[in-house]
Amino acid sequence: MISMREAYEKIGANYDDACARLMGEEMLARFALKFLDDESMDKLEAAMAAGDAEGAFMAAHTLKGVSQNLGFDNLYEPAVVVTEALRGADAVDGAREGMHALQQQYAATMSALREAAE
Amino acid sequence: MLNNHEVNLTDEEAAAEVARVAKTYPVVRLLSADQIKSEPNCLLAGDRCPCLRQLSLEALADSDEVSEQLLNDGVEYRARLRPLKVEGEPRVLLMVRPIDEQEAAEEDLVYTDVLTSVRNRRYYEEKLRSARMKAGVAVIDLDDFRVFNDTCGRHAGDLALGAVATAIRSGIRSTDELVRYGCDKFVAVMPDIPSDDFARRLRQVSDAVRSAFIPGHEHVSLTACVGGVRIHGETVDEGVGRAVQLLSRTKAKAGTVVTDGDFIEAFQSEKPLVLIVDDSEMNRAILNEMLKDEYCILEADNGRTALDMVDRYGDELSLVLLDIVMPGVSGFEVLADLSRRSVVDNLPVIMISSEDSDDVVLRAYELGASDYISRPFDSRVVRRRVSNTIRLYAKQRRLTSLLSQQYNERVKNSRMLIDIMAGVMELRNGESGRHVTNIEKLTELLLGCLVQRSDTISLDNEERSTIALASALHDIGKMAIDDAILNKPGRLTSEEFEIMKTHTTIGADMLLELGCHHVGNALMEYAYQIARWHHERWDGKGYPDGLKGDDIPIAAQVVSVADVYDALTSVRVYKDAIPHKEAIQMILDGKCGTFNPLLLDCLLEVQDRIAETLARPADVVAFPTI
Repeated sequence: MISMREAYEKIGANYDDACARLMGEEMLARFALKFLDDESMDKLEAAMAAGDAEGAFMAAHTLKGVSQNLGFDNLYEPAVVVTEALRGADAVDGAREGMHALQQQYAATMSALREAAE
Repeated sequence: MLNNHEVNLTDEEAAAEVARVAKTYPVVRLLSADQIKSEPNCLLAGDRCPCLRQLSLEALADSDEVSEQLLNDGVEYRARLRPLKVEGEPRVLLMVRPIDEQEAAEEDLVYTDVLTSVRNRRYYEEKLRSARMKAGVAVIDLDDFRVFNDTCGRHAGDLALGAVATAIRSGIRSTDELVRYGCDKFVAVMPDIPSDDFARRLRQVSDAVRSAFIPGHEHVSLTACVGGVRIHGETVDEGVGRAVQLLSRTKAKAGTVVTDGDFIEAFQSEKPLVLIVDDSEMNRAILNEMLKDEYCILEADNGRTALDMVDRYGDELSLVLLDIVMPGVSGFEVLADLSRRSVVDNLPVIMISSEDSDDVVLRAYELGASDYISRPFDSRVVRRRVSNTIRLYAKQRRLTSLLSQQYNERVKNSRMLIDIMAGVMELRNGESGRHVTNIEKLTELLLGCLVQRSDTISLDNEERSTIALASALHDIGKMAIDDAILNKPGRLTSEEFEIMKTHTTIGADMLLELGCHHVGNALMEYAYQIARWHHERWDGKGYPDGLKGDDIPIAAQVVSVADVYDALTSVRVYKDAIPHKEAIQMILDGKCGTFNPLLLDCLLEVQDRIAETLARPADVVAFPTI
């Protein structure tokens, strides 16, 4: 069990800024833990696998917005890369490289959040 | 009178002064600083009275006379504390007497608001502001009073304030204090009132204001926001401050009544409705959390649902928060749709996205978004933007309705005057009482058809009804025609007919003269055209000016057809009524002069509706055929 602040620090996310924006620690913790149920990464991976560029763009865009709102800077940055690679694209290939970094950060974020949730 | 503190009195002079003021003041004491400080009892009435010790010291220190009103054993006293020097030593001359009726009346005047006869701000500042008590304190803030004042005039504004004050008085207890706190703000202080009664009375106040009768402006209904808080030993001013704060949170909706404490629940249902549209549940949850205390939240996870909800909730919705990038119908498409249907005129839409390039922001504004919030959300910014926008739109909605109310009232007034004039004319002309109404209806029908058929004539709704209204005055010139000619049963001689024809120019001149103060007024312009030229004919064979074709103003052309139809189908001293169909045929055949072919087409098109609208069963039965 780690605190939410520790979880944020562990993954390189901006805790204080998110706290100030999202009505304090308690509320931030609630939202951050809700991220464990967020489906946008699943949707992104499924769309990538299916070669659905538009679906992948939507999912990446959502993931980008959510991570930005929660102050997951570590996740936001690779999400921007993937989103931009998919914007207006016909195929998903251009985003594969970026997906790697995104998946890595996503795994780290999820694991830190799970630790905080225990 | 010795009231200059610089004057140094001798003991004898001081004694004489005491004796002099003792004639008007039952209690007079000359006190030294030591006496003021050391006397164990209250200076006036032992331990039973509000003490004047502090005040005496102040008078001594400031060398200014101090006056104070105090209550002892249910009697009000006026105390004056005048600093003096006696034998070089500072003294205070204390003079106390009960306040008599006259003085009370004078004081009443000083503390009464001239316009509303309730207490004024000075009373609040001097008597109420710092008073500590257990009471209900309410701030009553009139909605949009400034607009009422500006549009209806200062005098009306003054009358309205008086009416509102009376209305508020009727809602509170007679012993409660009512103060005109600002131009359009009142403060009511209700000592020791039970909280349920307090809330009930505030609602009564709100209802009373709404139904307040403003002399000369019976159609206007003013509303007030009422904010009430209870104080338990705090000062009245603190109560007022809290009530103002409470109001500022709810002021979006005119006529709101809100109290703190037990009754906040009742107010909850009045929370403005906000629709959050975002495909990410997470984002919706965050926004929901930020706004749910102040607003009732609806959510939609896609554009299609959002549009359905906007249609379903209509005016109940106060604001939409709209994400731009969504699968299916995007935020831009939703906004474009709302914009096309002019929904955004009354419903503010705030766009949300992290796509904060200038192009995206500009596109949102161009499509009619009221504001733009970019990610990441900051709760403080989101809340402020939402509340500002809602307030602005609510205010705009209220102003629009107030203005249209007044506009309609004005139209109603001119219509009433015209109806009276037209009625007088009909009486004199011996026409059926419906001639004027019929012509108006016919004119409106024909105009409606005309603008649809013609590419060159464009008259909006308002212009068409103005023309229809002006048609009522088409025969106003007949006022000046001799009765013997006007109501002659047989045919007119050619001389008589020449006189009869002058009703057109006379009528036009009358309107020109009587209406000289209304130059540029559309109603007057149309009335002039119609009065002068409603006997002109398309081929130039009409009178008085022999105008031809489209030189005849369209308003006059339309009324001329309407006039002929109604004359044919009505009973006159010299003829019977002709049935509808036959009358139409006569006009089409050119039996009553030549008309604009386009207008004849219109007449054909609307003939069935004419028969419906102007149905005259009595005529049909009495004159089946001729």
